[in-house]
Amino acid sequence: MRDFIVGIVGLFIGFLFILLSLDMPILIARGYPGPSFFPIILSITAIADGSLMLIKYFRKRVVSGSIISTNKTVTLRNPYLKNAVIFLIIITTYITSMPYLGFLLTSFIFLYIAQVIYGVSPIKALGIASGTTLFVYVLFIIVLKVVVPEPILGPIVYR
Amino acid sequence: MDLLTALQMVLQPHVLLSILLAELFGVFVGAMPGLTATMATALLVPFTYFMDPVAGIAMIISMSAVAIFAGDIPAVLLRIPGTPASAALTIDAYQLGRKRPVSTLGVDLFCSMLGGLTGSLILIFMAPTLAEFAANFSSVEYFWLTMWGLSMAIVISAEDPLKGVLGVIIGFMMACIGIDPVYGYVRYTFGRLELLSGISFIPAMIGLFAIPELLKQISNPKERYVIKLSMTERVFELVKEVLRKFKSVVLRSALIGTFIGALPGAGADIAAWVSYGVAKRTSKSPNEYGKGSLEGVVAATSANNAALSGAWIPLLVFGIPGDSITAIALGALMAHGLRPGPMLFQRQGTLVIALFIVFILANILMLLIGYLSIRLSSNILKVPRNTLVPIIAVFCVIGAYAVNNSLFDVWIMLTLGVTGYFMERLGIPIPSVVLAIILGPMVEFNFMTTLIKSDMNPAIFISRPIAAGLAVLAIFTWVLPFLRSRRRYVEGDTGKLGT
Repeated sequence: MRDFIVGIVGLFIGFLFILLSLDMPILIARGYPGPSFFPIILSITAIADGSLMLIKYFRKRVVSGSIISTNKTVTLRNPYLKNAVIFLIIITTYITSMPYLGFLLTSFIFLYIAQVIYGVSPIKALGIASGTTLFVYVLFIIVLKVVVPEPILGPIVYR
Repeated sequence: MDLLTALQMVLQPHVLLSILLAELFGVFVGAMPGLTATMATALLVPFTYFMDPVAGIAMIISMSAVAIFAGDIPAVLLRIPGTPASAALTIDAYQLGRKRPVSTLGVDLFCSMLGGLTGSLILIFMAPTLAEFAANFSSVEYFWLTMWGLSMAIVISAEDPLKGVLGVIIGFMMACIGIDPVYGYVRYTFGRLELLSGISFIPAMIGLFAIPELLKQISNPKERYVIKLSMTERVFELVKEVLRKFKSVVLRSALIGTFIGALPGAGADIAAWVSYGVAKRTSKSPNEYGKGSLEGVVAATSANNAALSGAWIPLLVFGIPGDSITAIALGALMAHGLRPGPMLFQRQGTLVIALFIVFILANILMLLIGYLSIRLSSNILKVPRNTLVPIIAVFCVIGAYAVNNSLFDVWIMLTLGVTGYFMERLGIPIPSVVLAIILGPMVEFNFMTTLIKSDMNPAIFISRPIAAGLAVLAIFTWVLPFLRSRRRYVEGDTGKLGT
C-alpha cells in the first residue's frame, strides 16, 4: 500500500508544480530556458516517478494476487499515536502564542505542561522548566544577542 | 629556519590558550542544533581583531574544526545534526549509536582527527597543485559534480531507488522556492516576503530530522533513549577495529573530503555525503549500511573534517574562499593586513607555515576536547524521554528562529517536521530530501548557465574531458541502484513463480 500512496504523492506534486509554474515562462528570448524550465523538468520527473511506483505496485499485485503481500502496510493508528498528536498540539500552541506572550514565558509554560502531561512530577517539571528557560535566556539572549519575540505588554526581562 | 620561527610563533602561551578556548566554544556551538560553524566563526571574528594574526586565525581554524566534529554528537545520540556537515551521520552513526553511543562517538572523534590531519597534510604539501586543478572547473564540471553528489541520495535509499528519486525531487522543489538563481524571477512564494530568499536550510534540516524523531520518541514517553547504557563502555574501544579494517576508507574519505572542500561552493556537507555514498558502493558489506555500519560512520566523519582543511586551499592559494567559513576567515585575514594569494606564500611564508602548524595542532587537541565532550554529552541518554523531548523541542524552536530572527522559520520547521514524519512512514528517505535542498540551487544554476552559454547545445555537457569523466561517474552511480533493484525484483518474481 505504501508504494501506491507514494505513487499518488509523486503524481500529485508533479501536477501541482506544473500548475503553479503556468504563469512563468518556460522559454525566453532566443529560445533560452526560462525560470520555469527547471521546475517543469522536475515536475515531469515526479510524474514519471509516481507512475513507475504505481505500475510497480499493480504489477506486484498481479504477481502475488494480493494487494499487500509484498508491501508493509501503513499503520497510522497505533497505541502511542495519541502521545505524538498531543505533542503536536502543544508545540503548535506554543509557537502560536509566542508573539503574544513572548518567547521566554511560552517556553517555560511549554516545558512545564509538556513534562507534566507525559508523567513528570509537577515539582520536578517546574525545576527543569525554570532551569532550561534560564539557560536559554543566558545563552541566546544575553550571549548571542538573539532578538526573541517579546510579550505584547512589553519585555519582562533584562537583555 | 622558517619552520623554527613558525613553531615559536605558534607555541606561545596566548596562542595555545586561544586555540583551547576556541575549541571549547566550537564544541558548544557545534553540538547545538541551529548554531552552525559558520555562525560561530562570524561571532568569533570580532574577538580576533584584538589579537595578533597567528592567535586570531588559529582561533578560527580550531573552532571550526571542533564545531564540525561536535555537530556529529547530537546526530549520533539523537539523530539531530548539529551542523549541516553532520547530516550524513544521521543514518549509520545514529543506528550504531543506539547500541554503543560512547564508542561510536569515539570513532567519530578519532576519524574526525585523522580526516582533519590528512586534509591538513594535503593542504600543506599539495595546496597549489589542487587549487590549480579545481580552478579548471566551469559550470559544466560543477553540474556533473553536484549530480554525482546527488546520486548519493539514491545510493542511501536502500528500500527503493524510486522513493529516493521522489525524495530528491521534493527537496529540489523546496529549493526552487524564492528568487530564481539565474534571472531573479520570484517563484512559488505565494506573496510571502519571507519566502523571497527561499526556505532557510537550517530550519528545514532541524524540522526534517528532529521533529519526526521527537514525535517517535514521545510516543513512548517514559522510556529512556538507550535503556541499557553501558557504564563501562570506553570511548576508543572501536578504534582498533577501525584501524584494522578501515584504514583505506579513512584515507579515501579524507582525500574525497579535501578535494570537495577545495572546490569553491562545495563544503563539508557535500563531502560527507559523497564519501558515504562511495564507501557504500565499494563496500564488501553494503547490506549493513543503514543498520549501523561502522564503515559508513568512518567514511562520513573522516570526509567532513578533511573538507574543512580543503576549503583553505583555494583561500590561501588564490584568495577564493572554498566555503562560508573560509569566506569569513578571508575577511579576518584581510583585517590583519594579510592578502591571501600566491604572493602570501612568498612574502609571509613563515606565517603560512605557522597556520599549517595550527591546523595540525588544532586537530590533535581536538582529541582531548572531544574526549571530554563525549563523556559529558553521553549523559543525556540517561535522561527520560518525557523530560528530554520537550527540552530538545525548545532548542529546535530557538535554533530555527535564530537563523533569521523569524517566527516564519519556526513554522517552516514544524511543517516540514510533520511532512518528514509521514515521508518516513512512507519510506521516502529524509536524507535524500535534505541533500537535494543543499545541492538544488547549485544544480539549477550550473545547469541553466551551461545551457545558456552553449546556446542550448546539450553536447557541451560532455565536451570537456573532466566534465565527460564526471558525467560517466554520475550517470553510472545514478543507474546502478536501479539495475540492482531491478535484479532483486526479477529474482524475487522468479522465486515466487518457481514455488
